[in-house]
Amino acid sequence: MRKGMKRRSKWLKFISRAVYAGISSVLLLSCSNNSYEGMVVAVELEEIHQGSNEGAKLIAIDFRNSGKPAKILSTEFQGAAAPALTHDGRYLYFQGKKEGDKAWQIWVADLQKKTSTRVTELQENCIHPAPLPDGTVVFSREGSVNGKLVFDLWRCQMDGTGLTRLTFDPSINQHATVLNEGRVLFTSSQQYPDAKSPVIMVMRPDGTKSELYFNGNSGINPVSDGRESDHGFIYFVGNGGKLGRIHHNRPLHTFENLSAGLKGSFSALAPDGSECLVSYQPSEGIPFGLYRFNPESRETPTLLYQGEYHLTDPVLIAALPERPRILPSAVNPKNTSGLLMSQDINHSQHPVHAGITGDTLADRIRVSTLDKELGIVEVKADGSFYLKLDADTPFRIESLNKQGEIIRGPSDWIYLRPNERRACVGCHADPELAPKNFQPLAVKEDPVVLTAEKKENSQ
Amino acid sequence: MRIKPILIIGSIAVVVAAGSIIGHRAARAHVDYMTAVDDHPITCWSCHLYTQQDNVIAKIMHETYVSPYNLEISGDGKRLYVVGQESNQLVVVDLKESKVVEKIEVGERPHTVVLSKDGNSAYVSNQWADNIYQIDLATSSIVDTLLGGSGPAGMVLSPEGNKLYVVNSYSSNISVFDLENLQEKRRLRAGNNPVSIAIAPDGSEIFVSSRRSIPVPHMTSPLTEMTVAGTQYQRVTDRKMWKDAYIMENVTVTPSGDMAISTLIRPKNLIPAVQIERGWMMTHGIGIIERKEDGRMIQLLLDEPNAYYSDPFDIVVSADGKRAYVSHGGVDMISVIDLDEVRSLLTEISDDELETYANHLGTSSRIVIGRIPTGANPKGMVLSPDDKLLYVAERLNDKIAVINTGSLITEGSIDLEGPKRRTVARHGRQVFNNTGHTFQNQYACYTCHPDSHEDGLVYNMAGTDMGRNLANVQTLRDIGEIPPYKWNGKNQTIYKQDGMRFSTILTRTEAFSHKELDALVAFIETGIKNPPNLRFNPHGELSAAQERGKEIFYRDFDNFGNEIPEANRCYTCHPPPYFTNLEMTDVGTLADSDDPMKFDVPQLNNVYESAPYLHDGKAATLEEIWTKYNDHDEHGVANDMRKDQLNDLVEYLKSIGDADNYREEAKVYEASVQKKKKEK
Repeated sequence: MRKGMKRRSKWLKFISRAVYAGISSVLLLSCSNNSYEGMVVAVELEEIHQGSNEGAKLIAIDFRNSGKPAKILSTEFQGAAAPALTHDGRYLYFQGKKEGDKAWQIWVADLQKKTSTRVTELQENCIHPAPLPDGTVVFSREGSVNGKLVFDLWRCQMDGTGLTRLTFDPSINQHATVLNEGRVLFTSSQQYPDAKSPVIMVMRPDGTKSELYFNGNSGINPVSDGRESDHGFIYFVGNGGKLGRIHHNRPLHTFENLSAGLKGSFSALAPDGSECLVSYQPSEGIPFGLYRFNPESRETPTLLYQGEYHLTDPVLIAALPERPRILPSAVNPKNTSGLLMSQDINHSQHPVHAGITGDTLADRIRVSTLDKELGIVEVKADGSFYLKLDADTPFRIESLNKQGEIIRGPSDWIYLRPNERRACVGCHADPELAPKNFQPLAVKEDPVVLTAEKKENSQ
Repeated sequence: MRIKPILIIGSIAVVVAAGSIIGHRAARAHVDYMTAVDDHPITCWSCHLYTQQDNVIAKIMHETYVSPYNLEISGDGKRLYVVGQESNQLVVVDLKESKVVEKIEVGERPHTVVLSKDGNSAYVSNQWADNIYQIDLATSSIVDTLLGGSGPAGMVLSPEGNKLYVVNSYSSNISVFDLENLQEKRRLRAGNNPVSIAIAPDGSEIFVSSRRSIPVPHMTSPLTEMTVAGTQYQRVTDRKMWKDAYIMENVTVTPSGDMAISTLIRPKNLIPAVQIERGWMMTHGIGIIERKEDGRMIQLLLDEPNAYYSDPFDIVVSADGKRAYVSHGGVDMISVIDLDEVRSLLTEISDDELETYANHLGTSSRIVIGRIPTGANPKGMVLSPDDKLLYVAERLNDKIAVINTGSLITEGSIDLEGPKRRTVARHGRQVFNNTGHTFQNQYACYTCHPDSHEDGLVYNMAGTDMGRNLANVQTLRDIGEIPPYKWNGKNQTIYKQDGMRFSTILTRTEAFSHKELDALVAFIETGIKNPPNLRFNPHGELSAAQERGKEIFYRDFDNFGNEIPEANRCYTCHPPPYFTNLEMTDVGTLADSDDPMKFDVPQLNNVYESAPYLHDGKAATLEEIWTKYNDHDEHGVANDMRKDQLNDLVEYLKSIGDADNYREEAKVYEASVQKKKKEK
């Protein structure tokens, strides 16, 4: 009897799992190919609106077999978009939603087993997955700061466990991708207190050492993820459907507008060797199709596949020649604070604010979070300061002169991860400037503590 | 009847199985302890085969490679003469056939080769033998030996071909030889650890670059000398001090003579090492001396904001003076520099901007016109007489790369016929010298440990808070038998020292794979020898002063007849052969900026070349250990000593060489200790 019950229970479990798998694994089952190697997965949608993927479908196209129609992979989804492949070419992450009124969630498809499972199960929209080489995935999760819509980057395991927040600034942080060197690239546009144009940022996968990568000063603001080629170029689509690239070795000063002189507009791309697979629309009225583009010759892209609807976000199903680096983490969750040191607050490429009547050198800084001032700290004679701050709390810094005037700042939002130790040359110093070799006076003493715990203790 | 054998077999099986389980657990625990991680494969041979020294197994495990270091080309461009640093050979290559035609045995650890003006002779400096061989190239025989200073390294011939200038890297001076009688005619003081020399095209001046900083006050930035000497009177005319730079491996002068250019590294040792991004640890570039009235010294980086070109070694300039080529040993790359663009840039840089340019990572995109990949660890280079080909010594590849200077593409490779297999230790040496395991290639193990020694700097590794626990870089020579490692002795093995934490704190990128870590440990434990201490102990016999110093070192009673407590005798903590008891101790040198800790007693082999001293490098000289930092006799009883006695002690310490010289002395010492114990 007992054995029979056990068997029945096993069968029930098996059946229930199979049913679940049936519900959650519709993706890719319609494709009869055993291997997706060499195929292109793209997003098909009727209308392209920035930030909206309602009704989008994932389709698979086999360019090697031109007579074969594209296959819809996401038949059971109300929407599926933002496909991103793991470095080994085995798993395809995407954002999907099964019901129109539900939030986007992150899903992952196993291209070998042809099954898909939900990764996140959160109330908020979770979009733009970016698989990391250690098996985790970074994605953007919707949030709100003082009534402003923001997106933060989060990270979790493939099964959704180990959910960790990585960014804390009041910005829309999205379009994450991983660089070959192991850091994470993403677009960021500040939303509070005022909205700023998007820039490309880079950080370590644990959220530490977040810094500016490309600021869009060349008249193009990134609106897609940055895709790294084998040759060290980062390609991205900017506002107005422009296609741009920068070189990883010197991203701030190597921008090239690849679409200059070309008619039409781009919506997405995927580097493929020395060329790019692009989503391109030669003129209004024609849907975006998939084209091949040579960034060196910069001739008009050649058509590969034109569908009835727009096609965007192409992903070539192939393993990367080399796995991106897995960077070690400096984060220690047991430590609730981080350390920040600046060599010389007066070292800046920005002039002091107009109308300053007092000194033009700062002798103190004011540190403020989103909702309060943490304190005013005197800087050392060499302009250095050394602070201990609550981790995962965004703050900004203003530099003040003896007369109390704000001579520079506020800075962009900064945050420190638990146990992060961070340093900078100055206040908005030239980002291409390596530090001078001297021991700042500030680090000869203990850091000035501006943590909430310290505040409580001192009250 | 049948049960018995079954029982026996069963019992054996159970015992074997139990033994296997217990053995595996023990092995697992042992490997976990040795590696300080729990996932390193249990591969017994990693430690017990690859790290063997001086026995039959070692002979099977290891090989002697050529390791081409520097090279020279004949005036007709037909032959290449390559210094085999490891094989102790001068390798002669027929360039038409791209083949080795001769291997001439030379002295220990040869450094540089230069050819006589008529091309009939070669001079090879033997850095570890303290001599220079004159080789007749027609007969491939050594015809004479020149004796000068200690550690002969870089050499250059005068334009007339009658004088040979030799840089003595250990005695830090320059020997001037008259080649008519092969006699040293003059010796000039140079910077600290000079290695390279160049002569102006008109022969009027020589420039000598150094590796190490001159002594500077504690926790100040390095200051490295470029010695300039006039050749007419053979006198030093200038000592150019390169601020914030060191390891100037090679120097050259442009054909027009307008610039002397050296490779250099700009370390960031004084800044808390909290990140690598944005050149926070090391930057690499060139130093230029404008050879004109009021000429300036300018430093320009060859790095880029997200890509570093570490360990620049050689620099050669094309005959038209328009291009320079720099080899980068750490990234297996040659940088090609547009010198006209450099000249143009120099006209734009004001004096106030010099420091900014010296730190600017964007400059290279203006002056560097190409990067050419090479084989492992490119070192010396030479251009063909027509400038069309660049030959590069790939030290850890045993090959010479042949690069077309028009296309900047490697056209071919000349095999120097070294061992065909790559031993584990050789692999480790490649790992050691390569920056691939540091974030953005900013530095290799080699960078702070040039020649596997140390760079003479004190770093703020910021292991806990910033500005605390300063660490004087320690040598890696012959350290396999003297654990623990790190000043605080926290690493029981080299595996732990170079393992996961190393990656988190220091290299900040993916950790070494198990295979790479095995190889690195094998190299460190077997492949790093101390150079013979020919400077202070050339014949193995102590001078009178050194003998007196030795007596002081081994004394039990002070000058007043008081017995020195055992713990305060020199030899208690510093017994031969390594002159360390491998213990942790407190010698009263803890600074306010240190966390409470004891220090691992350092070895004293070749201690003369490891200044500064003490864990935080605050003692600039051996003398200062006792004159400034031993007020309470905690670091050995020394306050009773007269000045002459301290001098003698220091002379003795400087005489200490490789541990192998003290194996017998160690036995005598051990016997004497046992005897004293019995007497008590």
